[in-house]
Amino acid sequence: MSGQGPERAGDRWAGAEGEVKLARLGDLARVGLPEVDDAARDAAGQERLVAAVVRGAGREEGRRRAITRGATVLAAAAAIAAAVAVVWWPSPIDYAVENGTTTAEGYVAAPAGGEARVRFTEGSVVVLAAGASMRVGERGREGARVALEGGRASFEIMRRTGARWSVEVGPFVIEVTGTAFDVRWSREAGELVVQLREGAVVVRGPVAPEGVSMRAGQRLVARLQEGALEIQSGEAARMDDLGAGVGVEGARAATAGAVEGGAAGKDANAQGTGAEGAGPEGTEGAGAEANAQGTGAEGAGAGAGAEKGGAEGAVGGAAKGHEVARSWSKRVAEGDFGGVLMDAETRGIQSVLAQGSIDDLSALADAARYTGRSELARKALLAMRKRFAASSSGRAAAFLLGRMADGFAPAEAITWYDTYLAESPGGAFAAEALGRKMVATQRTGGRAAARPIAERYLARYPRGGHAAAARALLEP
Amino acid sequence: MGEARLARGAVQALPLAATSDEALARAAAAGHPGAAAVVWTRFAPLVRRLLRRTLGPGDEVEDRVQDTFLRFFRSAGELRDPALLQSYIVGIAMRVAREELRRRRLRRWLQLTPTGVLPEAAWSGVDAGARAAVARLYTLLDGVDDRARMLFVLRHIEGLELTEIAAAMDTSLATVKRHLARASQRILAAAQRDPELAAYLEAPGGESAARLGGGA
Repeated sequence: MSGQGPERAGDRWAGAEGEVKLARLGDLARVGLPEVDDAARDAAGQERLVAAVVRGAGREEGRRRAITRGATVLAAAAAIAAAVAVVWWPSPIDYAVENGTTTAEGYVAAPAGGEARVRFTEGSVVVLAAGASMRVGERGREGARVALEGGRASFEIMRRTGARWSVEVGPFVIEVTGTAFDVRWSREAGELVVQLREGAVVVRGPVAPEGVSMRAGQRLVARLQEGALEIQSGEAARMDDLGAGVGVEGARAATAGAVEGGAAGKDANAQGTGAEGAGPEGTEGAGAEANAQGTGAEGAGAGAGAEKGGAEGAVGGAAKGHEVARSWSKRVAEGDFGGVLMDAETRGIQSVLAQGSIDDLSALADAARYTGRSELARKALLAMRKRFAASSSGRAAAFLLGRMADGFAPAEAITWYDTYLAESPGGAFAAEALGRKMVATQRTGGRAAARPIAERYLARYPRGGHAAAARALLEP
Repeated sequence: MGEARLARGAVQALPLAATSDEALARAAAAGHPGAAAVVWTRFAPLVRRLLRRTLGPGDEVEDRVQDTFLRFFRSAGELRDPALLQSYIVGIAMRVAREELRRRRLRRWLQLTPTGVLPEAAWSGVDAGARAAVARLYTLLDGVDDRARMLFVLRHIEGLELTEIAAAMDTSLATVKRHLARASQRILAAAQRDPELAAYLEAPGGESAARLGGGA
């Protein structure tokens, strides 16, 4: 850069006077818009660039822009719509990793001896506990898809209009708008714990495909192997925390008893004893999580024995007698799974299956699934299919049956997914059904068999929850 | 998962930090882990200044600066003559600026903001008169085409040589001369018609110089 050079070739038209005036305009701009010397901002910018380049963000941008260019040409006829999209589609949020290892694919891992921090440009922060790892997936203007691969992570998601984040944890998805929550995922145990500190989230997964809403202060524990899902109120969670401090083992036994005893209202002793015997001494932090897992909505006393826990769970269910008039679906939404099951047993399961309303059957199926009573859930769903096949709930039952079969009978699951997709091609679970069909097909028939499904999935849901898996399948 | 690379904290310093643009360009194209930091240190002030002066007051440019460098690292391997690294980066910055100007026009067209400029931080260190005059100048530049605006900025504000402008805009020297003459004539004529700007053009050593802190 030469500054104002003596030779003004190209400006000769203006003559000396014109050149002087143009130079004055230049002076005006230079003085009015001086160089900004902000070392902190410069350092932050450098940090951001280095992190992005290390991660390969430039290459990602390139692919995205190439696609955008092509799409723009094809969409010339829709120029106005495209123009609006250009205005409202700024660059996706970016992120930088502190004290962790990362790769170009968005994998981030905390070191064994300390936390890693992932800072997103719109202000959200994820803190990975020592040894935890996650993957930052697709990023957009509104948020990002993050997958916690294992360990504990704390999320502080900025509240913004239109914010859209999702945290994938094993087979679960936590949908977030703006909130703060902690997540722990143990792949080995198939256990998810979500502690919601602020805001609201929806958790979807194998035991809650249609989503379970959580409010601030609640704690959700899902155990895949048992097909169980529990939500504790803030108070119950705090009680459990206190109980964990007093007697972890006792509390674990109590809550484990409460899951079965409280839900089913019987065999409290047997269940509690089983849990007591089965539970090894937990590691630090595991006790509190174990508390959360098993505690029924009415919270068997944390720290109490299994027997007491089971009994209290049963009493808790019975104590809800005054709420019988309320709909089962509302009670399921509030987490009163045990109460609904008790009511159903009081009325007679066969009677409910044969004569219950579609809403009652749906609520019964949900309550049974959330408490791990798979066979009862299956019966309720099959009854929905048989008696209310044309209803939206009846069609959705096909998907839920597929989900229930997915873990142990993938071929059956695929059949149910196909049924759902045929009956509800634009249904609420269509993306999930197609994605899960793809995964199940890969398991049963291998990659080649799953590839056509992956192509179909990407064509229909390029930003869907299974998009990454579909792309991986299509890689040579 | 692909080859694991270390996070930011582990990025090495580029041993060529004090060497030529050519060596730096080659390092960037080769994916040298320290290239990003050195490229930023060397060119970020220039890119930020160019974007700011092209887009004008009231526009936050940091995201555009990042965009410029990310594009550079994406395409560093396509740089034919590594010795022209600076012109290459300036060219990218100009393309980024042009895209932003287009977006701004769309915003203006959609009447999201009166000027298409998004609200931004206050000015600092500039008196109200000069501020108003600069705002007038950029309002005037909003009325000319993007190429004329960029030629004016690169030549009359940044003082680039015509050859540098030609390289940055990926065009011939003759084209630059031709378009620059037209752009300069048009902008000067418009400035002379503007009472606020005319004072700066017509009063050497007078009001304008005083407002600008002693003149240029």
